[in-house]
Order: sequence, then C-alpha cells, then structure tokens
Amino acid sequence: MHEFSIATALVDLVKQHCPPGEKVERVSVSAGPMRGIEPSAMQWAWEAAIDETFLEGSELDLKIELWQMRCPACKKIFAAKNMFEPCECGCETTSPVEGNELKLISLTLADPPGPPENTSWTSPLSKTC
Amino acid sequence: MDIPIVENVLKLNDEVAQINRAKIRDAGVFCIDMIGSPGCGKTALLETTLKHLAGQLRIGVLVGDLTTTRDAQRIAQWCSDVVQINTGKGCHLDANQVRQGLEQIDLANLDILVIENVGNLICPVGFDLGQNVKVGVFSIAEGDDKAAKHPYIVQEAELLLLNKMDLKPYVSFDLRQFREDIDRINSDVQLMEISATEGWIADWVQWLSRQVVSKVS
Ligand SMILES: Nc1nc2c(ncn2[C@@H]2O[C@H](COP(=O)(O)OP(=O)(O)O)[C@@H](O)[C@H]2O)c(=O)[nH]1
Ligand SMILES: [Mg+2]
Ligand SMILES: [Zn+2]
Ligand SMILES: [Zn+2]
Repeated sequence: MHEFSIATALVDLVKQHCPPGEKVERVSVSAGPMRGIEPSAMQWAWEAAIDETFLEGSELDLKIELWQMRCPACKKIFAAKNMFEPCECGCETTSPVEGNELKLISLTLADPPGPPENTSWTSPLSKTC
Repeated sequence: MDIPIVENVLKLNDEVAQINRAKIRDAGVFCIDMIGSPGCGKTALLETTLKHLAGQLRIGVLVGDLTTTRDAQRIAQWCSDVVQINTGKGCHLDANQVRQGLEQIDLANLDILVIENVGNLICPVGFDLGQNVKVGVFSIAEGDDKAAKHPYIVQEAELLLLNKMDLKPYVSFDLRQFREDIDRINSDVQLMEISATEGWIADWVQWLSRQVVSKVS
C-alpha cells in the first residue's frame, strides 16, 4: 500500500502551498506508469489521508501518464498503454523512457462566497522557495 | 482559482534523504539500499557477505521489517552494527526512519552501510533514503518475468542480483529472457548471478570492495 504513504506525503506538501484560510477543492497529481500506482487504491488512500484534516472534502485528480516507448529500429518515441508495446514499424524490442515522475501539478481553490475582503494576500509561490 | 505548482510529491522525504546522504558522505561510508521481494534472500545474502568479509570490510546494517526482530538477530551473529527499524504497517522505509536509524549507528566505524528495505519490489524504489546506490535482488524461484513486471527497480538500480542460482536445476527460468528484459529497461545496469546460501558471491564481494576503494581514492 504505497498509495497511503504517497497520499500522506501529498497532504503535507499541499499544506505548504495552500494559502491560509483557503478551501482546496481539487489537488491535481501526475504519476508516471513506472510508479505502479493503482488509481482506485490511491483514491481510497486519499480519502483516508485527508480525513479530519484541512483537506477534508477535497478531490484528488490523479492522472497516470502513458508509457513512452523508444524504438531501437526507427528511433521513434511513442505513447503506449503497456510497457514493451511493439512499434508500428514492426520492431518488438522497444524500451521504456523515464516514466517515474510523481508530481503535484496544481491546487484548485474554492471560489470565495462574496467579494474578497482582504486582497493583500500574496501567493507563497511568489516568494523564492 | 488554480495555483500551479509542479513539485515532486515526495519532496519532504527527499529533503530528509539529502540530510542522510550528507551525513553518510561526511563519514566516508558507502551506502546501499537493498530492495527485493520477501524471501528473495536479502538477509541470507547479508549473513554470507558479513561472514565472508569479516576482518576485511566494516559493514553496518539497517534492517527494515514490518514487525519482528528476527532478521536483525540473524545478522547480529555476524555484525555488531545492526539496527532494526520496525515499520509497522509501512511497506517500505522512508528517509525519516533511516534518519532515526542512523542515530543509533556509529558511522565512523564503517566502510559500508547496507539498508535492507522491507520486502517489496515496488514502493521502496520511489523513496530516496540517502543511499549511494540501489541494489535490486531477484531470485530464480520467483520466475523469469519479475524484472519485466517490476521495471521501476530495474530502471533505478545500479546493480541487480539474481539469487538462488543453486536452484537452477529445479525451476524453469529463462535466463536469456530475463537478461533481455533487463537490458531493454536499463542497458546500464549490471546483473550478477549468485547463491547466498551456497556462498556463490565472489562477483558481489568484488563489486563491494571496488565501491569502497573508489570511495576512498
Ligand atoms: N536455495 C537457496 N535458498 C536461499 C538462498 N538465499 C536465501 N535462501 C532461502 O530463502 C529463504 C528466505 O531468505 P531470507 O534471507 O529470509 O529472505 P529475505 O526476506 O529477502 O530477507 C530462506 O529460507 C533462505 O534460506 C539461496 O541462494 N539458495
Ligand atoms: Mg529479510
Ligand atoms: Zn520502430
Ligand atoms: Zn510502501
């Protein structure tokens, strides 16, 4: 169940980026296929990890990227559903390229109910980190 | 409103791993994160290696296990610098557990530190601990498709060991296929055939000694 460790790591990381007092609606994550993350296990782990935290009720948008396979014959790099998928050119000995990324891509914040009272807030992203 | 971020999800783990890495480097120690399925022979290999290198290389071991201290006890017969890390439900070690483990080990006494990760071929690979290299352990009893089914360790490892070669006559294992799969995933990784229980570990021991020498020079 590495999905649970990834989910708790994600909660800690989001905490660093979320402006105080804001409500996070959605957390978008991209994962390479090498990581072996199971989407349904990840959703379950996310629900468990955000329980009784500031992220309770937020949604996890997980995108598992396709494999990128390189063909040794025609040198093409193509997206594939499965590792070792043969190339269009007929070559059977394709190799996977990278595919191990695991990134927090973005946070979607809920719209404030009325006009914002305090507009002096600056994103933590504008500071150097 | 969308806030773009694009940051490694395991960033906080990786930051602690960097602290471990600096500590290990400053002590002049070479550190291996050993990753393989339960039962592939990680502890057996450590026992044989410690026996073999006693008096030549000073090796310490951090061993991650879900609950028992049995592996640590097995290793402690051959080595005084062994620390058990119980992960409870965790299926891998993380950098923080290793940081705590390091506090219980005198790195100044060591040439090599081996971290025996929790038996699992998938998730330990993603968690940087501060090691110099990852070593993947397979065994021929597991079947010849295991490299293709666990490409992440093949991609990330500096060295792969294929253990239990003494069982070759009793199991069907297509070595050529296994090697070919590995080569397609990572053409740089070395593969060594060993038997921990029979003591067929000459290549591995030589590799270990080379790492220590290149660390010193
Ligand atoms: N035949 C044979 N058995 C082995 C070898 N290495 C380990 N074993 C056996 O495999 C089992 C699991 O070994 P262990 O070291 O506990 O595996 P770990 O879970 O990876 O630490 C034990 O019964 C070992 O004796 C080997 O090279 N050959
Ligand atoms: Mg063991
Ligand atoms: Zn092609
Ligand atoms: Zn795990």
